[in-house]
Amino acid sequence: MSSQAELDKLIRSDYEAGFVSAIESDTLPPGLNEDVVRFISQKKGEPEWLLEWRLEAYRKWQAMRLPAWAHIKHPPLDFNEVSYYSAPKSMADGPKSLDEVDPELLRTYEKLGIPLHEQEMLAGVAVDAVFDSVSVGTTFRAKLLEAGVIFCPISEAVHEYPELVKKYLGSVVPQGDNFYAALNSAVFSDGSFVYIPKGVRCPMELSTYFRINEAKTGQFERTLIVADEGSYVSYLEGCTAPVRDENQLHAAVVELVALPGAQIKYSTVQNWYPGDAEGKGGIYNFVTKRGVCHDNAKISWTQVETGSAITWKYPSVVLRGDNAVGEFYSVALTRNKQQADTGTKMIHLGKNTRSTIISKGISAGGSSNAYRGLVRISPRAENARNFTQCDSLLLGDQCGAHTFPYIESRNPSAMVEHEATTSKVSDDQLFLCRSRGIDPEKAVSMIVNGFCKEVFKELPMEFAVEAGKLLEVSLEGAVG
Amino acid sequence: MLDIRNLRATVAGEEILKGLNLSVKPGEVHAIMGPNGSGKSTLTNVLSGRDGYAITGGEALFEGRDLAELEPEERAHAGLFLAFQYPVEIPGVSNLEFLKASLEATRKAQGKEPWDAVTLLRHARETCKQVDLDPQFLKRGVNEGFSGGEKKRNEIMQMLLLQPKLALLDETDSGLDIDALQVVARGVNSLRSPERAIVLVTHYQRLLDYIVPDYVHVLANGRILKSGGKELALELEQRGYGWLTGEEEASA
Amino acid sequence: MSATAQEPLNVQLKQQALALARAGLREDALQSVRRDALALLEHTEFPDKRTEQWKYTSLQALTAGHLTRVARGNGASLPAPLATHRLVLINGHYQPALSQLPDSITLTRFDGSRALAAETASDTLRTPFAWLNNATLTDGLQLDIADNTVVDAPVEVLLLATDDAPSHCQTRLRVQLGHHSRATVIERYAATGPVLTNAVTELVAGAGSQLTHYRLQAESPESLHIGTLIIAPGRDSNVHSCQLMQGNVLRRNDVRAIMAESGASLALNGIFVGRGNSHIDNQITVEHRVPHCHSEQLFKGMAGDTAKLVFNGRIHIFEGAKGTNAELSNKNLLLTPGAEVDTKPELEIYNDDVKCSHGTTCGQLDAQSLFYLRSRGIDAAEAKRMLGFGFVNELLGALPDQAVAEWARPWLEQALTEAEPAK
Repeated sequence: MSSQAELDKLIRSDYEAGFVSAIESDTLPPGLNEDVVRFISQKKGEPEWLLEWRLEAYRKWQAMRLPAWAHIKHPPLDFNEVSYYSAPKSMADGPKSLDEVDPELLRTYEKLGIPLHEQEMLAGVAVDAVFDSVSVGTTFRAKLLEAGVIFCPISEAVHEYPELVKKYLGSVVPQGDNFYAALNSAVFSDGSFVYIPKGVRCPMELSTYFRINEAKTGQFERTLIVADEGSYVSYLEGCTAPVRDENQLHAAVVELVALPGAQIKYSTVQNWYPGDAEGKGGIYNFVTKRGVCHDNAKISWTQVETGSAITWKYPSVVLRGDNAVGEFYSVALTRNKQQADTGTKMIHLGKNTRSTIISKGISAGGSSNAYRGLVRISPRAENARNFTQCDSLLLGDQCGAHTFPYIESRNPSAMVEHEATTSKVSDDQLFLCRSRGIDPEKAVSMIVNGFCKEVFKELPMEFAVEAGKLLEVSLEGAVG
Repeated sequence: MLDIRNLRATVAGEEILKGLNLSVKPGEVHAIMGPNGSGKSTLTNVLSGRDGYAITGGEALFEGRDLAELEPEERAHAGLFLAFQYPVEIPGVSNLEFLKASLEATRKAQGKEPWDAVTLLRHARETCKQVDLDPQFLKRGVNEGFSGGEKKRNEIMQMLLLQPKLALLDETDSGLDIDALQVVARGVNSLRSPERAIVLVTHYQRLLDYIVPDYVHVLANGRILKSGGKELALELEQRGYGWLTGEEEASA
Repeated sequence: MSATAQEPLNVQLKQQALALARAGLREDALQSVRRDALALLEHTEFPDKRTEQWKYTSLQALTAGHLTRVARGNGASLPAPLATHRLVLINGHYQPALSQLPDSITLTRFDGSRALAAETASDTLRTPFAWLNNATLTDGLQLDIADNTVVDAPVEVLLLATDDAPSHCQTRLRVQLGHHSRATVIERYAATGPVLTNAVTELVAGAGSQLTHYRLQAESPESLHIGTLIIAPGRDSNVHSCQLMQGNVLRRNDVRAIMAESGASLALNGIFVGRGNSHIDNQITVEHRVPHCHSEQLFKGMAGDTAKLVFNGRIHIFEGAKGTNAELSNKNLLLTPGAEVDTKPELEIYNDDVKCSHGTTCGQLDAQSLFYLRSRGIDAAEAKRMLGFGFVNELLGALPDQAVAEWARPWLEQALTEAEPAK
């Protein structure tokens, strides 16, 4: 019995979030031009400055070229085949509370394990649910406001907290930062806005659940989290999409601002539809995530990436202030024909800044999994420290595992360490498990979970369990 | 319990076992001795079902079931246990987690009630003490960074928790100092009972001072050349293997 | 300056290279090699800042027009030899009168009198500079060591570049070791004046052979060097290549090891020291194309003053290359503020049955060790020098050839001493 055959069997498991919800939508016809940008802005009743901001981004985007440096392959993207706005019809009048939300929408989220009725929710977790281009509901808003915490769709924040939005939008990821960020800046539809006031420890976990439903639409959400001095917030995002034969585009931007002494913990469980075993369909996930850390602040990114046909994302931290801390913990699992090019950037500008990067890539089937990272130590970053550990686990001989770490050091008192290994689940390890009565499937999932443990322990408790299960499901039928 | 009849096996196309016969009954302790390259490890690997070892003739029956038909985990569920000569490391998977998975699957297959977490932990801790391992080892990765002696004791601990019907110990004594050897022997002896059998595969006689076998077999060139009582081991210790294999000069 | 001075530098360089290549065309046994290279040059762009492989290295120094003038100087005195047998090339041209060849080696010149082995073909080479070398190939050496031959003493090949104006020379060396033979070759570059050496070296080791190769690059600080090294180890061969480099105005080394025959084993080591305003860029690729090869790399870099070190070490495991064992370690010391290290160890793996790892560090001398030495009365500069030397000793101590080690020690000591900041 070859372990490879068992592995192959295990790799072919189904995508559980692949259903389509029967929701009538207002969807803009495919195509992108200034009018589309104006339409989106108008639809949201945005102020003039934001429309101008979007148009500026659109013009920058037009002058940019599609990035070609990532270790991914895909047919040329036609940005005129994508619809840039889709909203459930029932949302047109804007339900005032969760009770008014279309029950079909609520059922969609229930089916995904995200009940939006507050009484049924995981205690201590507030959810903003984004369906295609709009937020359909945010739970626990009132309770959060008591603590001074603002958690609402960004489209609302534009109206209700214009100074905050104006001050921080684009302050971390400028409109022209890169091709996809520029596109997002022009057409972003919704997303979450979070503000934690000075010295406040956010009383519950905040989370946003993204769902793409409509065919031929792109999702371009924008998340902005501002943690004022000495505050703390833990935020989680989850993503799924229906099974569809064509590729769908997701180009999000996430900006984090950690003011002096603040801490932001941002966790992602990304399970967009990955395409089928032959590589047909799936989400193209081109995401820009970046945080700025001021003096004594800390930003920690944790991601578990199992979905998407293509993942292109590099959650980064600009360690601007002295003693700032940046962390990146990542598990990326690719199988079938999935491609991932993911990693992080740690830009050390302040003195005594510290960063830790732990990346675990698991490749199976005919997939390609690349870590790409940058650690930059500026001349001013006295005593900066970075430690990077970057491991790849291969399940099968048809897949690829790659590591591209860029290290740039311009300060002699800084210390940068990078280690990387590549290994497979060895026959000996499997045999030991099997000799102790553990079936191969369970054995592989144990070994893979063990491989990812350093990252899982960074996730909030409930989600660590979820992530482990997700990995198990993704590996079902995949042993090595 | 274990009936090996005219067993032939190849590794990478080369015949290593050339018609081996062995019969083990419940309650018995057998020692299989032999020079390097005689086929000792091949025998244990074939019995436990490792990839790359092909049975080309004869059969090995465990309680009447043909072992060749069983997957490694099914052999474990049936009550067969192999203590490895070189236990592998599994980074990130804690010993406890590993034991839990192993015991859950095995007890389920055997129709026993699963242990809850508290019971498991209690048993695991007690067994740790029994083999002189700090219970802290339960939290560490399977064999990760263990010394040679610790790995061997870890094997014995697993054996004691799984309570197999037949334990195969592959050179479990090699690389152990005298204290560790006694700990291992104590563990093995505690498993001796009228329902269980133990097969010790060893190169040295000294293990047999602590685990006294009922039968000793000499394996050479893929066959059992001679069988006898525990006194045969002493004779081997004094005279080497050469007088049996007819290679007086070459024996070490 | 010509009208093309307004063009971007990479366009100017291309035009200069094409002019050289076209002027070099002639009808002889090497004409197809030159033509192929010219065709490649015509269809390629010279690198600029946007070229990924040249991200950290600017060719700005070449605006002085090095490619428009061929180095002609011959005034330089030769450094003392490192081996009994030495072959000398000045500005890329073989000097029989200054050379002495051991009996066990057959020498061929790339003078167009005969065709060359396929490995010299341009498609093995990867940079426009290496193609330029092929396109202008008119001299240089091929050393052949017959099968089953042991060359006891090391053979030194001295490649001297000299001129007092910005200019260039093309150097070419090919070592072909027969099966089950053994040899040590010291490839040594020296230069005086602002000359660009554009070098291509090929090492071909036959089945079961053992090749020890040194590449010593301690040219003068005002010189420039752009080099390509191709290593092709044969079945079950053992190749050890050690590079010792000192920074100059521009040093760029592209090393490509092609593990295309199984059982081959490669050790690739290097020490690179940059001081003053010098620049060193190492681009190392080890390609594992077949099963059961082993490669091990250890590179140590030190940068002082405002020097810039670049290291890119890529391990590429091809589909089917089972049982590969590949390791890479790159350790760097930043000696002073102002210095810069940019390093990228890459893994590109298309097979699961492999053992691969890489590690890289970048930092300063250990503060505790420094303090310990100083508390014993050693001044800070001396303590730093000692520790820096200790840092590279791991490699130096392992050099199989004494003469090279003895040559390297004072050179490194000097480099380390001078790297002290002039605060």
